Amino acid sequence: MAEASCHSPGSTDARSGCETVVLVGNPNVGKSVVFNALTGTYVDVSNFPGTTVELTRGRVGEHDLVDTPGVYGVSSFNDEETVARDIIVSGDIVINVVDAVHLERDLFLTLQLVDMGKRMVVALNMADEARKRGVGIDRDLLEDLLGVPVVETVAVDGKGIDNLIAAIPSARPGHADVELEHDIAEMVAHTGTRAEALLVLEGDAFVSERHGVEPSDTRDEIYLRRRHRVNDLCGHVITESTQGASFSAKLSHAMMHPLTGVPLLLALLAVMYVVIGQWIAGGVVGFLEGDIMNAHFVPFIQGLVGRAFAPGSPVYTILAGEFGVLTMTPTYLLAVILPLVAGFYALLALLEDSGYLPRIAALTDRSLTSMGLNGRAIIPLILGLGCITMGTLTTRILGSKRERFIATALMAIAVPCSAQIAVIAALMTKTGPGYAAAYFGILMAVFVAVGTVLNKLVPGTSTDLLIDLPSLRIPRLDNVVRKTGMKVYHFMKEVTVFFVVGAALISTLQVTGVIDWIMQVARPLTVGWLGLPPQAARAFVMGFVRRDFGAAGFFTMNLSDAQLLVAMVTITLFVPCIASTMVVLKERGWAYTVGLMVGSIGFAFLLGGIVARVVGVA
Amino acid sequence: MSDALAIDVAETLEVTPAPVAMRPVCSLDCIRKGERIEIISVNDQHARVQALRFGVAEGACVECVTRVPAGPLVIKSGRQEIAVGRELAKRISVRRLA
Repeated sequence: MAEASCHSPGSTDARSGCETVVLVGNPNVGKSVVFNALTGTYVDVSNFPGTTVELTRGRVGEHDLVDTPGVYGVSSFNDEETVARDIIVSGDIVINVVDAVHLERDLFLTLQLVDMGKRMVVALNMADEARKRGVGIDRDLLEDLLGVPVVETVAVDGKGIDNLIAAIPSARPGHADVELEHDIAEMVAHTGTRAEALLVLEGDAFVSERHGVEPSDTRDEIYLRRRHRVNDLCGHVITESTQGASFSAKLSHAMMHPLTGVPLLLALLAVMYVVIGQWIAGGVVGFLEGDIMNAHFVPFIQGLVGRAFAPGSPVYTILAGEFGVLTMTPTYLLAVILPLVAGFYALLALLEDSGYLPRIAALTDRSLTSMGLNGRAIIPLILGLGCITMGTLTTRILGSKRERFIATALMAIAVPCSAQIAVIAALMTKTGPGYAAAYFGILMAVFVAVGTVLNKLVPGTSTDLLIDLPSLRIPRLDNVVRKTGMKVYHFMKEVTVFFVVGAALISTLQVTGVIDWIMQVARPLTVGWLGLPPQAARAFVMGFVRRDFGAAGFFTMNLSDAQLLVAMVTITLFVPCIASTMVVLKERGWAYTVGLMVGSIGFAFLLGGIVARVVGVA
Repeated sequence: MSDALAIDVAETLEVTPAPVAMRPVCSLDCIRKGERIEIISVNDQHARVQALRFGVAEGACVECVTRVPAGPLVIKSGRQEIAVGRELAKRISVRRLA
């Protein structure tokens, strides 16, 4: 972490003139763009994880610059705030990036930093957006009232960045809440720094424990006063010359009300299906997997490995066999997973940047609440359609353990991933439309049923929806590309190891004959109970390796339409692929994962058998 | 009843209409689109802190801009819009203005 920095984190002695500058701001104010403009490096410390909270550092002039995750306040509310809190406390100078369009929201954090006594500079970002919407901000007055330098910036265009850099030496503490002075003076004797004194007064348990004091219960009063100061400030510095655009207000309304919102959402899903399901999953994946990987890469690797180990030997099979670590894993990761994940992250970035995403959350809140979740859960669920690993990692944004429990289970059981959907769609086009409709219907019913049951059984309380609805706007392409790139990079970094280990495990099972044994044992189940040919057992086992293999296994079996329905329903409800299972293991633990595997296998076969009897196949 | 009508009735009956501070308190989920309200209290530990940061504090005057049927309420404070889940709305006490 500290290659060429001025001093190690936490220490207070530094070379003169070399200090640590910390970048702080609410989510989505353009902080990463400011970071890039200041340091020349692209980094993204974003709030939709698929990553752990990471620190990003750079240099601006003589100083170290550290970025923090977007937070609404400094305390220990969630992982992002905990990380931000410590960086801010130990930083020398703070650059607080605020969104000129949403000053009433952003100044809350600003005033908290002022109360903490940090030397700071405020970057009033998106100044152009504000002007476009007729929002006038009196920069001089804001500077006077806050007591710190305020620099207007349009970070995406690089405007104001030089002024911002020039203002860093003039960073100073602002006009703090006078009513706090007495209490802070007393507390500083215990905590050492003013910033931590304030945090103790605001009831932060961690900081209090660190200094051996009791956290105060004065947070609500302090917050209330701060909120009034913000409102007062805004009343003085903001002048609005025109009313908000009525078209965007109408569109916002239409997105959230079921009558118009649901058709809009369905239209979005249809577009998603065409772009991701057909162009990407069909076209791009087909090309990469077939024409490049299977035609050239795999034979090449097999040739190499074949020189050291005899083809058919255990080592050869594990490395370059059907599920080989060096053949299947790179093929799956690069040709199938990568394009699909990139597509889904791009979709999410578009939805996020345009402001549609929180409105989808508002639209779906009612339905999700009946399953123990709230509107926010729509984000991991959408990503789960891409890849269950993506969705599971993203459950980190949910507010309670209970919600994470329910959302993970729902995805593992009832949500097919895009790799699987592509194959299933190809198969279902050959059947009558009634069967395709039946498949969707059954899946939806299972989704709702599982959610409702879990809501009744899982102990604990879920959180309610409370989200900011930013203004609707045309997404900026550079934002979307940048966000997508970073998320894809971090995702691949995090999950590659699971796919590699998974392939190694499966190959070992194959080599030791365990797979063949499982298929034998499962025959009565697949033939007698599900009414499918005996080879179906192989497809189910394949489904554990790669979900698309599982579905594809049914291509060559010449099943009747009814049998196909049974097969598709069962394979979808079946366990997720081994890589996803390992991610679930990492996020939720052993007990949960074992319970989930047993539950989903049992449930998949149970429902498959019922469907088989209903359509007369068994 | 609307203020105009209330004043007419009051003049007839020689009673003064109730001042704002005395008007009944209800929960946010009873508020219709277009009504302006004052937030009295947020009776939810977890939400109160977040709400404060967003600007939905005790004493804040906001407008209800959208009510999603059986779903969240959207309130507007300044230029900022916040969606509040229906269950949470039931735990927020407000007082109608105007």
